Amino acid sequence: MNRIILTFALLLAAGAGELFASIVLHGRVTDHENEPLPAIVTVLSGTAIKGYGYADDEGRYTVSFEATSDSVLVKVSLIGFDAIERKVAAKPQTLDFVMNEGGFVLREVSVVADKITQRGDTISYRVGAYQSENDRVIGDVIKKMPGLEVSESGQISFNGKTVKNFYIEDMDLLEGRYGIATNNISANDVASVQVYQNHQPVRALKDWIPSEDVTINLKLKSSARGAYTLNGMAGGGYKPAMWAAEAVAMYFGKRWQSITAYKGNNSADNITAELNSKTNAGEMSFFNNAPLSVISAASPGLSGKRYMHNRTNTVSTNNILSIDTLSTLSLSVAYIDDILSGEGMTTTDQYMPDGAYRNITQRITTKDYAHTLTGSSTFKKNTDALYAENSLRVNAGWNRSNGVSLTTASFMDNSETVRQSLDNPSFTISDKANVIITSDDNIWDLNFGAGLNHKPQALVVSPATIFADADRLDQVEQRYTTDDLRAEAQTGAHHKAGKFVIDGFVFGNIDIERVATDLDGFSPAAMPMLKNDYTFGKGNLGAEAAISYINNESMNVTLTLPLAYNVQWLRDRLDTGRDRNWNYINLTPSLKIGYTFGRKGWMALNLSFFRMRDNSGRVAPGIVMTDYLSFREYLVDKTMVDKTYYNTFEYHYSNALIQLFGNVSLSWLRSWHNTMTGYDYDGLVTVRNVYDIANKSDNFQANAGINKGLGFWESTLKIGAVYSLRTSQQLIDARPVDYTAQYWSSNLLLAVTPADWMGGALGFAYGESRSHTVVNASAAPTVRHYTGRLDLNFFPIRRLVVNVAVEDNYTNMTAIARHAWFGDIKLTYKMRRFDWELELNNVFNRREFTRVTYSDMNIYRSVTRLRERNVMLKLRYSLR
Amino acid sequence: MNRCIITTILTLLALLPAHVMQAQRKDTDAKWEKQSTIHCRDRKVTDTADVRILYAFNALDIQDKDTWIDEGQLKIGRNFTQYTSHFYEVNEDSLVNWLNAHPKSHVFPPGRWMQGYNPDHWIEYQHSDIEIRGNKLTEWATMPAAIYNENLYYTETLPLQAWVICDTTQTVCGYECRKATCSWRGRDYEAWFTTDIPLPTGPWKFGGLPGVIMKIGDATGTYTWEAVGVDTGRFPVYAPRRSKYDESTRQKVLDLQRKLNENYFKTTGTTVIVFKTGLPCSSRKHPYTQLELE
Repeated sequence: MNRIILTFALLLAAGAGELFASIVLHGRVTDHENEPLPAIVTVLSGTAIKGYGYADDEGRYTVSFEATSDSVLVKVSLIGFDAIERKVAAKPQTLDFVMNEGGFVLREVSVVADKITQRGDTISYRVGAYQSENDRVIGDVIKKMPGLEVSESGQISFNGKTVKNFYIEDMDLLEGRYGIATNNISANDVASVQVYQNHQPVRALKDWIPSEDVTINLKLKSSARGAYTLNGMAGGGYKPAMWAAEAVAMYFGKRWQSITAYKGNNSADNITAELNSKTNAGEMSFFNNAPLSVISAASPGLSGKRYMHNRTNTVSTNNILSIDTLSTLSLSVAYIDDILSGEGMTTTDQYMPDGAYRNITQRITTKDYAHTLTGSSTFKKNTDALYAENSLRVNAGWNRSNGVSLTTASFMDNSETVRQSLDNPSFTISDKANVIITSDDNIWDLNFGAGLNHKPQALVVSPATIFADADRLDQVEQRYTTDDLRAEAQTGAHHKAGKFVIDGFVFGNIDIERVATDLDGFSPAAMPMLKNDYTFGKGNLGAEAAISYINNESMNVTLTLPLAYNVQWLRDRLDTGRDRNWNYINLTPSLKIGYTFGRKGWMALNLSFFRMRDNSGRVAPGIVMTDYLSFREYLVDKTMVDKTYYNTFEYHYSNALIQLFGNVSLSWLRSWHNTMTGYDYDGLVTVRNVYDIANKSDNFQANAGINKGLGFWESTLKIGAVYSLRTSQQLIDARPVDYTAQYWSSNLLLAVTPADWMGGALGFAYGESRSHTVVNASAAPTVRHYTGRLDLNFFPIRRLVVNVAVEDNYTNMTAIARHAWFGDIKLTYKMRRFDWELELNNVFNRREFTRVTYSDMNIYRSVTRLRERNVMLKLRYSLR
Repeated sequence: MNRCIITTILTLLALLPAHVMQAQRKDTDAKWEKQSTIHCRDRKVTDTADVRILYAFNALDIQDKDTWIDEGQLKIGRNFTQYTSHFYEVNEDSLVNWLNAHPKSHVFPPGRWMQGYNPDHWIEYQHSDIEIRGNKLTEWATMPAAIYNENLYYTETLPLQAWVICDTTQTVCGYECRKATCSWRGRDYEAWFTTDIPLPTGPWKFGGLPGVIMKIGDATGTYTWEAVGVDTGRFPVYAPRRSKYDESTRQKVLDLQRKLNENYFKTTGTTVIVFKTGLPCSSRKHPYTQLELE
């Protein structure tokens, strides 16, 4: 700090205490060489300033003050010098001071950010710099921030990394369901969006376990902190008759945060997606699955607003209470009542070994009824020395689906009308606990979790006459009940030795699945195995050693060597002769190398090898009808062995100063399998089998993205590209066929605000995919598709926002109507507490949409019935 | 102490009508002259400052620079302080870079990087430089576009505010500050200063406390400054932005600045065609209340 000398010499006569002065101090302030110093001399009594003065060009000062005690404190200050404090008697006297140079360092502070600022690993986006009149909630603004991407599902990623935590004022209110925040918190209430890079949320693990995770924190404006907010919406429209309603109450205080919401509509606004976790944090993974389903029209890949026919009600409440500064208790409950109707046509071109395709067309109408209740409660204590977390989750669903399909095929003479009905309830409960205790050189870590998953399904298909082997006319029924009891535990310690951390863990986990199935309506003579009733279990007991070199300034390297004893067993209640046990030893090493280029970038290389042996695919001898077109059976009594090399490389660059963010990631996955899954075609029905054929597959994928905030028109440019190549084999009519599938796509988004009265966004995405075998390498078709969308916002007067959007969807795989144009218009008139919104959707009244996709070698064309042109009027209000 | 309480009560009484008052905005017809900014490459560095304090001037939202009238900067060096517009300096710095990168261009973007509320508009608190050396204060008053060549300056004895220091404290920009009040040139002020930066200075023409004024506002809320950044380093101090300033007096400069805000067209003798009506306009009044009322 340079020495600063000010000569405010004659300014100094003024002093607050002058009018009351009864005592005068005077003297001289110099350095050790007797040079005068222009210091400030302040007289204090307790903390009260009684008088002050300044030393002049010769270092002389005079301070007058009124005495209220026997003594006073005289403080002499000057930047670049150590301050002097001297207690003296409160009487007129001469006091000279000699100051020592150095010591005084001015703290540099900045409280206001530019559009983007970076401090350490934290990047802050100022919301006001990206917000336009058209942006209502904070999610609308985040989409325009360079470096941040929001997927169709609402998942947020920063510079190619998926966000792991989402905080509001540094509190984890929503635990992954952050769509509730991005869809409901007003953009006007948020001061900045902060991105914590390389964020280790567990304080006890900081400086121990390097993290590449990204956390987002919403920094609220002071007006939104500690204030109750109630936002509401009510609306109606036509055609068909539509309604929508919302009421959202929010409070964000220092000790308590809450968001409680009711939402409902039949206008196809997707209000259930925000209740889904975007991170799956804290959720237990059960390995059982419920395979039965109703065949429904394929998703067209458009916004649900275009085609969904719904009647939805949701109620949710999310609360977090800060018990003390580092402990929180959170409680969340959500209920969904949803009816979804779908209608469309699906044409499947099934690839045959000779290079030809056979064709099946289905006209399908479905209706899905969902009632889902979820609840969770989490306690966290997060101090530097102790981390303790317990999370209890309960999920119950009473879901059912009905469907009717009219099926025709190139190999059938007549059409078939089939009715499907599925009862699909489920119940899950789980509890997970984690305790971490840190001392100077060691960490002790304990994880424990247990849970139960119960899924009893029943699928009824009629008429039974569509099946050649059915022994009745009316219907066939498949019942499938699966229960999975899972428990897991892990404990160990981390030891630090310089820049090295040595980890030692022991772990154990167990899954016990009970399966009972029954296929009713088929002749036992034709299908002898119509039932399953067995328990399959698997467990691991092992130890993991890891050594890490951690230099947070540059390089981190971690080598992990988990060794596990794996046991699997089968207990078949229908045939005890099939009971068996299997025992294995598994080693799954992995190496991770990370390198940081200062604040501007980092890269990571991950190398891993897995060898998995699984007998779950051989334990069910009975056939299962998974839908009316598909049956599953296992013919191979052999342990499935999968070996996998998985290698990834990623590089991330960020420079907040020039608003430039870029990332590249490459991955290569090579797998060997000793069995193959294949499909036999028997008329309409496809039978899924596992065959004893060894095979190998390679998957390459490359992703790249660049985000740039441009220096004009408040604009942001986002460009991304994906390429993937898969070479493998596919079983077609029990014969392995080599095939290659490749896909590439690119996308571009340009958001601009060229003038106060308008803003806009141009989005464009293009993709190509192609799959071919050695047989049809030259003849296989290439699917090309693109979507272009232009959003224009006008603000002709301060209160009015006009939004006009035009969208074109193109595919080359239809003979006619390759371009599908959509248009939407929205008018918003803003009053003090109320906003009126008038929406005109599907202006061009497009009624059908065609989508073409590849899956392996099969080509799927789906035609979806869309919502017709409609108008909706909404009134939004906000109370605080 | 009694005097502090009395002054505070008087300030509170003065604050009573504040709910109907609003911060002075930059909505008048006066705009600043941009074309001559091409000469910013020839800016003269007259000195170097060691400390720079940034202030939000008349901010509606301290976190949103778009609501600020200006970001003021107080540069503190040996024997002097200089208060100027940081927004304007950033614009000139950016323009210098642009001009150096496009040496052959015949056009240039003179105000592209100007930030804040209504960045094209002129107000004297953004376009005047306040320089204090010894006990002399000089205001270099740069005039708006219509009279861009009629810039004025005056020098006066450093005006002193008679402060009453209170025991109340608050943190401003990370520094613990004490409250002080004064009446000066027709307005009552409440200031927050920090003894942690022992320099008797502050934004605009304010100073004279035993520490830097970090926040100050008049009782009606019409004029406010709040510190948003404290930096140390070596900051160039530039000469006033125009080559020509005529000597004047404080009263004449104040009168002209007030008239320019109140009725820009009439004061400058300018006639414009109003876009919405298509009619000529040579007089249009705007509400305006000046900082120095006496």
